[in-house]
Amino acid sequence: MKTRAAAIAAMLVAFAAHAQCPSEGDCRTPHETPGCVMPECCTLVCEANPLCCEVTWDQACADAAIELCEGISCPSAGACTLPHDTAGCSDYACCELVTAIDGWCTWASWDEACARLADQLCAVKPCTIDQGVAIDEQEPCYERMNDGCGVGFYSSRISPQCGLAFKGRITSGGPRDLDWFSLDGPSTRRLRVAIDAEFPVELQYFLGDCEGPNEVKWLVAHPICSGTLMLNFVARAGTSSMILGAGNADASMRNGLDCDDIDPENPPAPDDPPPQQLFGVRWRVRLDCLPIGDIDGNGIVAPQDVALLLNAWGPVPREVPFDPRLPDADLDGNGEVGAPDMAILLGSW
Amino acid sequence: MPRYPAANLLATLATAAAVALVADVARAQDQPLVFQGNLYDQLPEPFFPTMFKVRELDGDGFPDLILAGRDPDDRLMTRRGLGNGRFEALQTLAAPGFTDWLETGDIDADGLIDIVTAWRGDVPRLVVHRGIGSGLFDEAIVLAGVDFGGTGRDPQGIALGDFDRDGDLDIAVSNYISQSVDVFANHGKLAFERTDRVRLATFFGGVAYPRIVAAADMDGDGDLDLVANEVGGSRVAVLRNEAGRFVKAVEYRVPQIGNERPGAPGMQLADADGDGDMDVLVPALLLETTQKVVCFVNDGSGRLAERLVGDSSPTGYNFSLVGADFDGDGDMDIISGAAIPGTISVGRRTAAGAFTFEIDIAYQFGQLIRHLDAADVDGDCDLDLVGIDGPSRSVFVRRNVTPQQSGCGGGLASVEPADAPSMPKPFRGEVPRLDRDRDGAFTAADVAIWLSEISRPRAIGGTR
Repeated sequence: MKTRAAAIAAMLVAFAAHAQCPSEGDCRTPHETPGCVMPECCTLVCEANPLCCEVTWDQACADAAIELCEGISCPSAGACTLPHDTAGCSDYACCELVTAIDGWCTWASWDEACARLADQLCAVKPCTIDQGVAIDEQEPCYERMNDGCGVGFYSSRISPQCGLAFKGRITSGGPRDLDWFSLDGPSTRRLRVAIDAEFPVELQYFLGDCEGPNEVKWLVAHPICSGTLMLNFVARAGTSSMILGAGNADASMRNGLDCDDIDPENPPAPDDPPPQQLFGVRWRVRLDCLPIGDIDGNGIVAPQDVALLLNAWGPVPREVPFDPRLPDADLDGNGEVGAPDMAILLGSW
Repeated sequence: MPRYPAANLLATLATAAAVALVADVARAQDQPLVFQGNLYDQLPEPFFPTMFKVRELDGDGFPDLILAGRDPDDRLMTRRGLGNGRFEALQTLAAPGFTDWLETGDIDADGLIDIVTAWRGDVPRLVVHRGIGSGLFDEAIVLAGVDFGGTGRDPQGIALGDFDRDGDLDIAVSNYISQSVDVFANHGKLAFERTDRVRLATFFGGVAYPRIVAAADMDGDGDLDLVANEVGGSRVAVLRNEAGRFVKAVEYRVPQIGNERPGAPGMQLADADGDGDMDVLVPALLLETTQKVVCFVNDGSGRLAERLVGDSSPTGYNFSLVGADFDGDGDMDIISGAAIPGTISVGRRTAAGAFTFEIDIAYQFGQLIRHLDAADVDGDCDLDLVGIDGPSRSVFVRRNVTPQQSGCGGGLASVEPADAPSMPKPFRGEVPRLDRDRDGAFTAADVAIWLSEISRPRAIGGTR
């Protein structure tokens, strides 16, 4: 497994072979001093032409950089947390991390998605979680068994039970790994989910089946290593699923969480790059069933829940995304909080 | 005293008229659709046309063309219609970055038509070419970019409409790589603000690749909703307008046909069943069988309640379509364009109320019919067929010579021989079997993605 620290250490050893890498000056334009600012590019060019690191970074070195360093853009001009028209950004380690996850940032432009990744990930120290006692999803990370309609063929879903915890792994790749939890049921129910993960969490609530109509009622992005994500939400009657993946509000994470199990039917070739795990891949999910009237999720239906319902009285706003972190008082799911919801609440007192 | 009471007379006349109408419709449905041979114009090297809009630009009464394209020489083109199905160069505009779609409308409220498009390249831009009169346009003004306004990655589809109902035209953009639809609100004086970004198919393990976005009032509530096709995963997405905002999509999968899940490379909104609301037409690309067209039938509430399948091209891979009433019988016919070989399949509606088509003829032209439209280019008041073949850089017109119920059209007597001195040759190569949408399986969707991404004439031979 190649971790972030190991990857950077290996790179530094390689750069040390060329004492002028990195150095001052743009790799793609000639300058008087030897070496240039991009460590990888500098090393590549100096391996081809040692004079570039010994004498001066002349036009031949700049031309070689243009030819050899396609897709290398770390570091480059521009703050990592601000969008800009050019690829790469000025903080080398941050630039390397973001571009390892999102290739667009290294060969196209540093757009707002790149900037947000930098903002969310670059200052964070990776963490590990204790999966504790939990039922293993039993999905080898090179397989896509619990991916619902997330893949070209229909696969299964995890069937959670109230009061039990599950554990598993999420990996990126093509297709990226998703873990679907079946929340099918004949009536609306209130659920509380607690999620710990070693990667940035993208959690969705999916209504409907694979053929459609289906919709993602809500999507929550939970920052990496920011503690347990706790949600208390109403699961609708009929077919629905909770989907756990890696990503943020802008995009799903498709690189950087490689599987480190060897697939016996598809073992890696000797020259395949090592797995790249920028963060840990493990997760733990616990699901609890609450009384449907327990809007605040404290375990009992009480006057505070009535107050929350009255506070939400009226139509549920449809012109803003639904936020499951806020109290959900639309107990019958008809898009309006009113007397029928009050009746449901009182019925679960 | 009249022989018949007035009411009886009226009823009799109405019955007779209805019988005559039914007979006329039946006759029309029995009459094949007939189009004259290709009139075509070749575009300059290395322009690869991707889409066009038919508009009257220069005030001469003849429809003109505006062409988007993938062009290493960074051009967007307009062509003057000559009124006989031919076009000549009118204006070339700078477009640094490929363009895949364009729309026209009066964005700046100055009374002149403007062109809105998006530069897809590494530094995406949403731009407008302001109309300056006489069918000419100014060079591009950037409305949104990476560092302001927040364009998405690979903006391809464009739709215009007054989404927030404040009296001006707003812009919706489908981002092929970002897998999202952006909505930009028009604040006047060419100031635009991105108000919504809706991610599509977030539940999909592969990549959705939305290509086309279109606007229509799908749910009958008086405002404009959005519909997008997803080439990866083969879905369509309906985004409802909620008080001028778009917050989520309801998605529908293209139905399985035989043993296959078809690709959905294109899309058009049209009232396919004549019930007054917009349905969604999709060319269904299949690997193993005759090509099909799929109609997602709107039940009037914006819900696509049914998925109907109709016949289409007997060969090739369906990529584009246009639904229009080509024989004037009051129902919609469908002409679809395929790739490898480029085939134009003329499908005539054969039964009122049913989604069944008779393929009257399949014309072969070029290698990839990327876009089709219906417009009266020769002024005889019936709808002619206009299309583009990407690899051969061709605009082609087939004049409609089908006898029309309405009395329009030149009729069969005006059939002219095809003007095809160097008809583009059909493709003979292999389709690459790559999982392009990264969903874990090679399917028709992957061929649809391959075709939608081709941007070089030789690419269709397998080298990109």
